[in-house]
Amino acid sequence: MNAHGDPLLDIDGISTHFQTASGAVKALDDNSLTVHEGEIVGIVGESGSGKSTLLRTIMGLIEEPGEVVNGSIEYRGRDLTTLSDEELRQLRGNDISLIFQEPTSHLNPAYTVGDQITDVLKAHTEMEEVERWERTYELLDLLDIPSPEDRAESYPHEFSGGMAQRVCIAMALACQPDLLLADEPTSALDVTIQAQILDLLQELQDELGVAIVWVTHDMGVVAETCDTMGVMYAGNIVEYGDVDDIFAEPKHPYTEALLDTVPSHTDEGDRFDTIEGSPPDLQNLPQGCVFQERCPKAMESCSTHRPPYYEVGGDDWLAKCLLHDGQPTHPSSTSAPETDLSIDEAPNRDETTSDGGTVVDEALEGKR
Amino acid sequence: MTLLEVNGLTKHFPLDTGFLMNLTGRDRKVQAVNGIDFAVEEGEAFTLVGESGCGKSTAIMSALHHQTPTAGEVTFKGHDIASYSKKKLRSEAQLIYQDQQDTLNPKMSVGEAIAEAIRFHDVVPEERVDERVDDLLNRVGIAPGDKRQKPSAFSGGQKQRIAIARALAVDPSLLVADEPVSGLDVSVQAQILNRLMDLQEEFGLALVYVTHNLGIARKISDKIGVMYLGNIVEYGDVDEIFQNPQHPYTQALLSANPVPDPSIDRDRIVLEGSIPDPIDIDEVGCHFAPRCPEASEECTTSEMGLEPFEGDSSHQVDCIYR
Amino acid sequence: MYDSPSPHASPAHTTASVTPRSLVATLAIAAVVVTLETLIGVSLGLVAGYYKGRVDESIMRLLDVVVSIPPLLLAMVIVTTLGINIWNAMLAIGIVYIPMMSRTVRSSALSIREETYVQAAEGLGYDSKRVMGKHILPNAVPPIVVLGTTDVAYALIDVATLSFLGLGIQPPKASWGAMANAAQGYILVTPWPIVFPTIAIAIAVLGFNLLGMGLREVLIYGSDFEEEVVE
Repeated sequence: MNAHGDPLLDIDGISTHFQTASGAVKALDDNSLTVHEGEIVGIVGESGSGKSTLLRTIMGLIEEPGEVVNGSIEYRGRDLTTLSDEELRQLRGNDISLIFQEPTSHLNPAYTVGDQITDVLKAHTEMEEVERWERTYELLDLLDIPSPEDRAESYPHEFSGGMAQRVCIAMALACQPDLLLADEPTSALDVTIQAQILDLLQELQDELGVAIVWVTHDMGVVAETCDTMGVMYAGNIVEYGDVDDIFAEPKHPYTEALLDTVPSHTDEGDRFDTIEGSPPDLQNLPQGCVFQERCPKAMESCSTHRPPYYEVGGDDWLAKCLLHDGQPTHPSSTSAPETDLSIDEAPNRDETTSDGGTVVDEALEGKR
Repeated sequence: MTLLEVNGLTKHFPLDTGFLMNLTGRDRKVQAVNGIDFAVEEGEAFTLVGESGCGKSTAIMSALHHQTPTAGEVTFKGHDIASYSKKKLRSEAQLIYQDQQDTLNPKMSVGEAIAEAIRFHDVVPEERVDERVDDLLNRVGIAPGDKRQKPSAFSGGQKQRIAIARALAVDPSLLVADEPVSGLDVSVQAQILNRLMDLQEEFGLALVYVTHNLGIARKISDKIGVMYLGNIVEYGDVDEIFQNPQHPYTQALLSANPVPDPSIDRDRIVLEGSIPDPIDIDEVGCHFAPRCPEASEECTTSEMGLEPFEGDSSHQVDCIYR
Repeated sequence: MYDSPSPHASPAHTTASVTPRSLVATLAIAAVVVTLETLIGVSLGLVAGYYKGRVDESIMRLLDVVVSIPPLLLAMVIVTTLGINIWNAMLAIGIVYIPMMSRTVRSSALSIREETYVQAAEGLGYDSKRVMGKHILPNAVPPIVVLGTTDVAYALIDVATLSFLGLGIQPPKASWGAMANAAQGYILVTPWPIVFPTIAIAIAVLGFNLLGMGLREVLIYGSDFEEEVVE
């Protein structure tokens, strides 16, 4: 769909665990993904797959008892996982913005919409008041909100769902970020309104060149809007690559199964396809591959070996499946493929980083 | 036999606008449902689809007299629905609700909840109640051994299946389901819906399904009614309508719905504006006219109503240009 | 311990004897009051919360009448009208407490009736009695228990007050309030007979209050007793 630019955000081997009295909940376990400038990346998965945790980890919004135990997130030469709160705060809303599913809970009901947008500008720019308001009207107009000067005086509850979401997007784009993280932004909206927002976002992306990471459970949205996609299951991105490629020929059995189960109104079949069983408990992940218990193609080795990322079609199509053993593995900051990381043996973060740090740098150097 | 027949069903809610407004005669109402007609045959699956504010939930609640309709006739099994006693009607037509987490009494074991329904409606003699509870649980895929558990021991999807068992316990002839699987994971949805369709066949039930999800609507229904702002704008055979939508709203709706196939390059029909609130709608003319790409002056003044498309009574459209 | 020469006082009253028998009597009185309050208060509250509309309005206005009269005054009026004995004293206090219990239950009922499972019960054709009794009430229990427990404490005080004023329990039956009553004339001579029953009342009231607070923590706020160990 779009010609992508340089790598903007490089997620490498990210693991986020939540410590509880009964053990670690591995919300994210060894995830890798790259977002390029101007690209729309879709992240699909069922509930509990870790999609929201991934976005939160990128923004540094993980709090006790959760922590990033492994991996790195490179953004413009800095590892976001190592930044201080203050440094992260400067990035949020400014270089990297976030929008959520429910626009009404994202907006403060006590302030007008105009106030909230100018607030963002005040926090991150040196603009004068007049300039801020000018920019606010510009933004509202950009988002196709009619009569911007009037609507800026309205309160959030006076907007319909679709309009409120546009306001949230306006706030997110105010400081011209490079990257927009969107957590199910249209899931709460009606179909015809969602269509408006999808169209709008594609236009904006063309105009502004902002990259978007779009978390959703809707395969249709991914197919029609995204350039690349990541499929998540039980805390792992199990497949990542170009949308056209993956839909045509999924390389991971879960992706394949998932694509089969999506009911579309163009399907003429009678039954709903389903994947038998249910996702594993994130506190008690099986040894080896997380999907083995439900996988129609599971092999012996799947229960003992945790698959690494294999490059299944160039270095920008990755699949975490032993079916592809033999393909080159993707360099990553986590330990060697054969190691099974059991709950008690989660590697000490410092050790791995110092080991894996070199490998990551070299890989990046190779890409540049 | 036609199980449920609805004619001119209307449901308006008064809007409290204050004393003075009421004095001056301007009493505003929420016109949730504006004279709709549909029929459900024995064993048939009929789906009402539409976006928020279209009135689909209110329509079924009014049809079954869970709320009293403002106007219209509803006949059930050939008799006026108002002539049924509340108890009798409820034993014939059961409702599955949208909220899975909250649909079972947290203080009653699931077996008790089902048994209560069986006993209250005298479905089987006392000696056979336990047996029936076990049977129903089996049919919905819940282990009968778990029947002494309270709802908190089950997942959302399981609770909904238990709710289905409870509905079937009274031996109804009609099941009405209002978005029963929304919020659940896609694979859980699939499991429940497949089972629902199986049960529908096994028990010979008619099904009225309410949803905004077009993918589900297509697979589950025989017949479909597309609702917009209190009216059914297109009505008839589901495959026919999905393949050959005639009403501009239906066309926009289907086109807006993302298709999980990136190789298809389609132009979305994007409608302008938001979905209006069903308040202060003109009684005359088409309610979709303000947003319709094909609208004209005539649209706001014409008599509307479902008419067969090209003479085919299994495909009806409410549009003066079709 | 301290014998009183008063011709009015009975042996039970004359000693600083907070006996087990008087304990039982006192608690029994409070329990009866709370039982009465609960039976009527819960019924009214359920009906008001379930039916809403006019029924609710009527019940609430009726309760407002009761609430508008200062509690002790109302109790005194009832007792002096119906006859000064312990049963009427219990009835009077019970009546005074009904509005609070009613409102609490009504508030629960109002929110519970909107829950899906109550709508499902109605959808199954269950009659109102069954819906109120089997589906709403069991889910409204925690606030009732908490209020009832703390009300035992208040009932103790109020019945004691009535007895102290001579409107409640009559000699030779003993309740702590009555003991305090009998002893008040002798404060300047011998303070102990009034001190012990009064302290006993205070301890009982404190105890029930604490019990009520604890129950509220567990039943309503859902605390566990164990600390969660977070590494």
